[in-house]
Amino acid sequence: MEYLSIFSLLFNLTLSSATPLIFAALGSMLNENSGVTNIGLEGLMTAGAWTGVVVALFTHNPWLAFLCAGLAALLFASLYALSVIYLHANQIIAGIAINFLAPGVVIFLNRLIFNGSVSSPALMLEYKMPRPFAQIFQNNPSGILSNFFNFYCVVYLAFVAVIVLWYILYRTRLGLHIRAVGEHPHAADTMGINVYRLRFSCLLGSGFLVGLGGASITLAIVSGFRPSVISGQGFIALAAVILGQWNPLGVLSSCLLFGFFRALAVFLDGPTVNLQVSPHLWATLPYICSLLVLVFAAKRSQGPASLGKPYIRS
Amino acid sequence: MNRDLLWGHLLKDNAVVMRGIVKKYGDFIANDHIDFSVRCGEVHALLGENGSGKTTLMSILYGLKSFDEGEIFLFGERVDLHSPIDAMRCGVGMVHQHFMLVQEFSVLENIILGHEPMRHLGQINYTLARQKAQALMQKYQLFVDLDAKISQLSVNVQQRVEILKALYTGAKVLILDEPTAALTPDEIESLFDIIKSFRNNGLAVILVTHKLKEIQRMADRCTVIRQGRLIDCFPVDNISEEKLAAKMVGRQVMLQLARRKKEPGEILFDMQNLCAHDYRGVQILEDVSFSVRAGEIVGLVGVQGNGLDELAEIIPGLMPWTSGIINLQGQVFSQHHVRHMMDAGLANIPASRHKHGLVLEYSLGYNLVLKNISQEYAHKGIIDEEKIFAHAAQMIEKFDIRSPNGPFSAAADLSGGNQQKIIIAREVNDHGRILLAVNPTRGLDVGAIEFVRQALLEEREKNKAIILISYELAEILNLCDHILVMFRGKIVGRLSSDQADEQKLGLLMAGGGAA
Amino acid sequence: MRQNEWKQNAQQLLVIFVTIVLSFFLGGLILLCARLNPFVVYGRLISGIFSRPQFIAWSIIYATPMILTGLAVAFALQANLFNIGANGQFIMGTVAAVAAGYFIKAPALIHIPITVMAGILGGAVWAAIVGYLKVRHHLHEVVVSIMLNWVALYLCNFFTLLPAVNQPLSETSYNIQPSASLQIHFLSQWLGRSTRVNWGIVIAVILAIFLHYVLHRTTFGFKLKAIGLNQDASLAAGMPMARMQFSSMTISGAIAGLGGAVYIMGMLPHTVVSSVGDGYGFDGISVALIGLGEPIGVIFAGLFYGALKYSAGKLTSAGTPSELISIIIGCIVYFIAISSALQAWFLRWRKKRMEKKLPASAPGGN
Repeated sequence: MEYLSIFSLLFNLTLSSATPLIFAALGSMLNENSGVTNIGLEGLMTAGAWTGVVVALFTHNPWLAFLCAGLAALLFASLYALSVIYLHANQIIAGIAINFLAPGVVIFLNRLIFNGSVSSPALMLEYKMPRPFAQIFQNNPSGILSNFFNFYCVVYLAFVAVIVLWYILYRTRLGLHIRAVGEHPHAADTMGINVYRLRFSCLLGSGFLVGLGGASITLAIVSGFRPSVISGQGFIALAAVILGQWNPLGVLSSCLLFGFFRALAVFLDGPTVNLQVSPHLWATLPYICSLLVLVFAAKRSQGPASLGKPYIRS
Repeated sequence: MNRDLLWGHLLKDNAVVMRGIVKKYGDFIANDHIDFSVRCGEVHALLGENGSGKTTLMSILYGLKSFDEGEIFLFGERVDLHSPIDAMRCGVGMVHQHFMLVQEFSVLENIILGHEPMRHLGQINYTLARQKAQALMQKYQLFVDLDAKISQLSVNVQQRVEILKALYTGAKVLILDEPTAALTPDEIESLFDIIKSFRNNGLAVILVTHKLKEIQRMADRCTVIRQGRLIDCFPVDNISEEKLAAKMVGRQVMLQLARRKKEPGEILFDMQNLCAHDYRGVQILEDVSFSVRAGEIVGLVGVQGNGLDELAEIIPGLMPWTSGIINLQGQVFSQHHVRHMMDAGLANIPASRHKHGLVLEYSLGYNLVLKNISQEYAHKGIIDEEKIFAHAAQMIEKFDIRSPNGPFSAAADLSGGNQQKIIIAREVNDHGRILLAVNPTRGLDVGAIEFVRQALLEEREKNKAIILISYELAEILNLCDHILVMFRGKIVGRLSSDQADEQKLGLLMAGGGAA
Repeated sequence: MRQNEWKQNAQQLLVIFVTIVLSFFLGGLILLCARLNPFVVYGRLISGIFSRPQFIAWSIIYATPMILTGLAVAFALQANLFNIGANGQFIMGTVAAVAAGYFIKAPALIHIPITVMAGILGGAVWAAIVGYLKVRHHLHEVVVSIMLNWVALYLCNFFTLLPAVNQPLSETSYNIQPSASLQIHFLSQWLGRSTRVNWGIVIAVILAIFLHYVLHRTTFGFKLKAIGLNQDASLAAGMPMARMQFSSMTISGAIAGLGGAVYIMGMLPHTVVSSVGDGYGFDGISVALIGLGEPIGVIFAGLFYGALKYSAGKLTSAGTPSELISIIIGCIVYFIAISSALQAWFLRWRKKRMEKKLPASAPGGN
């Protein structure tokens, strides 16, 4: 029975770790499908994470907080979009700017509001994201069944988001236009699609999702904001999009993979395990996998054909 | 009949009426008061050579470009076209020469892009789309596999998709821009059948082309444009190729430079059986063979899209070729390699000054030594600035290069003509004995043009082997000893300069004359 | 040829100056909104750097690794390559330096060069992977670098926790031998025991001068810059593209690795298990951008940035969030991102004006 217990724990940790990645990666996938890169995901996630906690602390409403988190990230994303789409700024440099600005602003505000501290106060359980099945598992909250089924709302929402994005990208007119703009913006332009406006909108939508990703950490998994609460997950999301080959189901799978390795690291950090191979080596696996995919799956693996190239209407 | 009545008739009978169209790019006039009209159920050819302005005119009709003066009427109504959407709404469709297809999408997705039939929740109604597409295919007998991915289709089939795309938007006027460029003779026949069905269905078809045989076969009327001006508009009944070619190229008056009769020396450049394909696998050059001797200038002419541009990049090794060899002064090359071919004696005055010719941010002096700085202007890797400066001063003197700051001017600050002089100074002083010049006088003022042509003649006197690729027939006729004409990737004519004239060249360039 | 460069540089210096002033102005506005006095805060910032010799020393010490990663990024930037992997190369440099610094026992005269070389090699190899994948498989260097940054971090953690390396009951490695240290002990004594004055800044400045010379006086630099400015023309002029791009990336990595070695030998003599790393690579990118991609500029930009970051760290105790600097730097980088586009437009406008001035000629078409 002990194996089942371990497995259930890992299952739980994996899904919890994957959730913020799923939101962020879906967002990144959205703007990359329209042909624009954004490496400022770290900053956007941080902005979302902080805004979520602070709004929840003051309004005691986790849903409002979740929404505001998305909007905060959207705000920073619009700054990025403005420079990159309409002013044709270098996407890498602008992304780095966001990675400085967003966390800077957010922690600055935190110090002002919370007496010079870089962390926010802890969020009480009742103000966090609800766990819809918590009642059922009241008696045995860390039991095996609980591990398999008792999740915060955000985890379920993440899966919903995957389905919604799949639907949008592959079933709707909007999705067709987005993908066209990412593959061949000139062709889309000649068919009357406004490339600039569509890319701008995608960046905004992407920013919103990435913000949700950040908030799904602080409103659910952890109970408050610390500057290190994101620590690299924004960049993992970028890798997840490549490994997932720019489509929602692939992105979901690769986020689960990355989430699994994070869970493994947490798990192995615990007291009882003595493993042959260091968890840190395991942690490199998803990145090496992404690289191998890029090397061997040559053409398609580079993503949408016009990714990263500014479109300038002549 | 008075004018108003005539005008009324014109509007009523014609699907398209363009009146007095003027389009300027700064001082350059691309379209100079052009009148153009097309009837329903007519195939109307628009004939012109490179740079004549025919593509500009059609871009204006499709809403891709704005214009400065004039009016456009579609089906009797005056229209303002600001973008392709406006054009499509008025019934104009365009099949571009370089396809506007999304490689990763299916045929159906490409056809309906921008005009998707909808269902609830923003969903695309693919069933309805498929029905409409299939109806179209039936009507015009134009069949494609709707679910195939574009990247897997041959060029010929991709063109059908482009055509269906235009028809799907409800086009009643169809512009075909050089449609037979990438097709085999059989595929051209199929295309002609399709065009016939358009005509039978009452569409107005504009055939933008320079190929005389096609005009003879397909077109009802033909409008000729040259250097931005309307030359003539006439019915294509039994008109001969010669007459068509004559109208296309006209007779150009030019200051003739004296070219001394010369006995050429040994063969320095020899191309044998060269074949090349582009990234799609389409053949762009087929079995090209020619040689150039010391002390002679060989000219290559052709209309854009017939392999001349590619040849211009293959010869200096900028582009790979499939088979065949290039022999430079005895060294044989079966694969491209810029440096080695350069060392074997090839100098290149490229078609694009800004792309291949100069590093604009670098100074005049630096640009002069771009190729050989390591070999001649450095000691153990350290740049000898004095030597570069001295060399630059010498070149400025010799070639009369005007610049704001002498050797220190950034190349970007010089006029086009002076920029070209930098390139010429560099390539001509090269130790190489083979020189390729591609459109060397394009975009230059009269003084610079004469200078460049004189420079080429001087190099000829120095017994270099010179290859001149140019769109200017008069220039070719004046400077070259032998002229080769390219058509559809092959050499279709070899003439000595005594035998050649504009008409003969124009005819060959347009696919006329002996097959 | 240099006269022309000076004119361009003067123009760019103006842009950077305006950008910095503008960013500080915005920072001041933010301070006002937070009901803080910008003059007081900025005053504290400056006194935090200059008011004591100890502070000046620390500013320089903080700046040193950033100058080196900045030089790394700037060098690659000259060839129009974006080395966003400087972080990973820095980390590999620290790993190699700790390995050589701890396990080898030799007199300082030999030990120091060996440890330095180890760091250089670590960074160079790490960047060579990126260079190879770019040149052979045409993978974009940004994507590959980001992946490798993370692999480097985890490899560093793995290394630090190896039984032979790990200091028991801690998350750090053993310290390097004193014979591999670059610290200047007599100065440290004079300034205060914990001031880690080290020779690193000297190395950084000498390296910057050397790189400046290579870029502007040698044929290698000539070709590198040409490739960065116009790939097509460089190709047509017979320059060996692939070889030069690969060299550029590898050299850049070597410099970043040197930064890692200097960091270990001068500031923190061991590696630490961490989840993010210090981010010197990203600071290096900002420094390279502010320094206009020129080695000499990087020295000043690095000192500027390092001093600010150090001083800002002390602001919090006086009531101002130190994140102010992140915001200001973020603004500077943002304006730099836009400025290149604006500059391109300015150049086009200037060219049109030039064409009207010179004797009558048709537009210099391409």
